[in-house]
Amino acid sequence: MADGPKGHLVFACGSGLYAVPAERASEVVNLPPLTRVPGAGPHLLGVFAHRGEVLPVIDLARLIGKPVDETFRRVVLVRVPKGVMAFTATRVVGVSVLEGALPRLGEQGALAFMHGPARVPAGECAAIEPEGLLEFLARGR
Amino acid sequence: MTAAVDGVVLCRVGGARFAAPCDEVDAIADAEGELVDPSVAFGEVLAPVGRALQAAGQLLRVDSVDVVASPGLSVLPTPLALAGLVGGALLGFVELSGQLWPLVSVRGLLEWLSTEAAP
Repeated sequence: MADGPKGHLVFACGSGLYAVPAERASEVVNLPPLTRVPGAGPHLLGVFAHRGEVLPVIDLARLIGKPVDETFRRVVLVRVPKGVMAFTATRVVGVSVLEGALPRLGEQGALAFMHGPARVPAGECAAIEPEGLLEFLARGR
Repeated sequence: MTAAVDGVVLCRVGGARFAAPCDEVDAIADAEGELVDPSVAFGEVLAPVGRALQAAGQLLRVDSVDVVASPGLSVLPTPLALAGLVGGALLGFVELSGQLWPLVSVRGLLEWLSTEAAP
């Protein structure tokens, strides 16, 4: 991950904290009823329509095999040039600056698109590389 | 340009639902004979009694069907994160009475199910 301070939106999903580049976090919205999608893995909770667009709801804790917390009521919309993802959030912490070179959290799977651990005032978080994670999900994992 | 579909067959599989383009469905039949069970795609269990969609020479078992014959139904595009699901059989979504329905190619779903069921 590139060096240099960057503003990230930090949010909680289950017991973990995650961060997305602030310029990619477009909205935080209340979660409406979801429509399930055939062939979806357990991390893909469903979809909903928002401003004429279908948004996939992804639970990061389920995606990387962490303990799940079902109390989320909101989603963080993350927009990259190729599309948008909605990440479940039990809590939105705020914007923090992540500094330094953060190593990948894994070599394979979704963890290859997460970096850290990064220190923020609320604790340690995983910084998501949204472009890479979207490409990974598009491969049907 | 917005994509459109001329009529859909709304199908339920347990608590899940999908829409199939009418032009892919040759007939709606009783659930008799050799049936393809789609429950693995939906994580649901089929009801004991149901219907079947005939397409590509096969019968796809579902719980219930409703035909919406309206031409030119708008199709919302599939988000990239979902592009690889069910072998690419997800064609988009249609919104009917405030509900989103995954628009699924029956032929594509049958093909995906045949590979999923393969040893």
